Amino acid sequence: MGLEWYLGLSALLFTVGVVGVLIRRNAIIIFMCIELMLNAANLAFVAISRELGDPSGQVFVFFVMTVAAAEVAIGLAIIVSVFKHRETVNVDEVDSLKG
Amino acid sequence: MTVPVINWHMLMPELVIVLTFVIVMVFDLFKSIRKSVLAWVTIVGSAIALWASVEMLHAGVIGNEFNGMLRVDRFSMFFNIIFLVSTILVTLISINYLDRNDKRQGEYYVLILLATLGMMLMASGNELIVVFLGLELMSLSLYVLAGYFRSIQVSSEAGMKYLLLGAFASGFFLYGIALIYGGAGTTSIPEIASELEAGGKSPLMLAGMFLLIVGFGFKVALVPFHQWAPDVYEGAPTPIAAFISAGPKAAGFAAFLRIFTGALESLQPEWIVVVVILAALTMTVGNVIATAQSNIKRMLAYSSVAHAGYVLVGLAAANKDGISSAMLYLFIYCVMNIGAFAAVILARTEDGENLRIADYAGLGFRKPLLALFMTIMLLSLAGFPPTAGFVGKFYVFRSAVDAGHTWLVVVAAINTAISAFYYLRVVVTMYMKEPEEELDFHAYPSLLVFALLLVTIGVVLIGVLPSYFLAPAQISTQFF
Repeated sequence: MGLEWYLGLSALLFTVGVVGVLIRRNAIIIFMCIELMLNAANLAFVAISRELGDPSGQVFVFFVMTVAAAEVAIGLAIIVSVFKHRETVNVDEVDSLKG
Repeated sequence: MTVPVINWHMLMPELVIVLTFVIVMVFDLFKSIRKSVLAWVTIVGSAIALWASVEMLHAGVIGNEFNGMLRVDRFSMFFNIIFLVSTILVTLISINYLDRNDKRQGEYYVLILLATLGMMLMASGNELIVVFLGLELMSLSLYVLAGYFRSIQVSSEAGMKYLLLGAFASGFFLYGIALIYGGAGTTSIPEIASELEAGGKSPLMLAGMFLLIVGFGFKVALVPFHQWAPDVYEGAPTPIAAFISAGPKAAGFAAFLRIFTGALESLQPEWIVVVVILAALTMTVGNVIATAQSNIKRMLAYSSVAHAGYVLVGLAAANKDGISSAMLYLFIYCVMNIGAFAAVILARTEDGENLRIADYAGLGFRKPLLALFMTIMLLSLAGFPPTAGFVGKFYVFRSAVDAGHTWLVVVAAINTAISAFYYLRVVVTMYMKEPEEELDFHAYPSLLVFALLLVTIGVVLIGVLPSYFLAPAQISTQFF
């Protein structure tokens, strides 16, 4: 299969992620959609790396996975600390900062 | 297998910061060590790294380290100086801000150091992977710092908003890198540049470039990607708000300059148009919304959005003059903005901070020193001579006019007039209005006054002797 198919799938995943962030209101779901965006980029890296026969793209994916794991650890902790105050993770109801 | 040769002395500032970070972590384990010692270790470590950066800037050290992953040159040293000055000032104003009995101060300083290290990697990254890792190291530390007071509702809320929008932006940034990798077949900045010159513009590269601009736009809070900034600045601890408004913004612009003038130079006609539009939008929207704010931290947030727009005016010129004046502007902006936030911390009462602008009424005579500091910082932010703010704006506007962006400078000048309105309103409130109720302000913490004194001297010094600070910025752009 050609590179276009992989890039097409990755663009589709990325779009699903972006649309999800914009329309979903639950912080955890938004966070999952962001992970989807990162994984779309990973898919593109791996596909391009295979096409070019250049391993650096696959190395990049390892770094991205590490970063994503760190982001989840920190992100969930922060969302839990918000939940302790508000008993909700709906981003529309978390609104004490306004101007 | 050969062992790669690494010139460790080239990485002096980074290594010193890593060492300081380890020392702070270990010291934090000992109960017998007072927590304020950790702050002093942070300051001393950053000062040593600052000294090393200044020396390396003077000596003009140039080199590629780690197989060309890191580029050490005057440009990265100039930005290191901006980051380290911000770190030192922010640590100084944090000592009195954090509760003396706060057990978690170790984490606080460790995270500040990690964020600084991330910024330094962003400025010297010569490979998109390194820039991305630096960006994430900085951002992840800042998300935690924004939500540092987790028992306070607004602080954890600021952390969450920063996290969600910051991670969203990282997604765009990463996808942009992936597309550029697809278009150029490499992630090394010099190789992308030669690839582009040889091959021409593929649609993948253009799409990647726009995604990178969106990612950067979020990180440095350009309109229309600025919505997180006021909420995060208001909810985050005030020294951290000062930090977020200074260092990360400079780091974002550093990486932007490296990538866009280094790797994507051949696409300049395309990205200049975007930069000019973003600059006009960012200045205008930032300043207009700032006039309507009644909370001083939100006002400073919108003003810092507008200042990012002024930096973009310098970048729009995209020549040596424009870039060096934008770099000088970033340095001046970081110093004076941290000063303004420090003045906000100085105005504390028993029930915490006084953030309504109306509360500042009558301060001019009741708290002359505080009002004086606040006035100097606001005048500098507004760009009145003989302060540093005037110098910064002057060089940026001049370079943009020379490059032919006259109408953009007209917009910028109108914006400066609008911004004078809301900065001066605070000054007028302090000196000419009577307070509605007597507020019981805290005594001045000595370290905070010391930090403000340093900032004031800096702001006036740059205002009086600008060429002494512009020259290093000019020689730092030699590689372009």
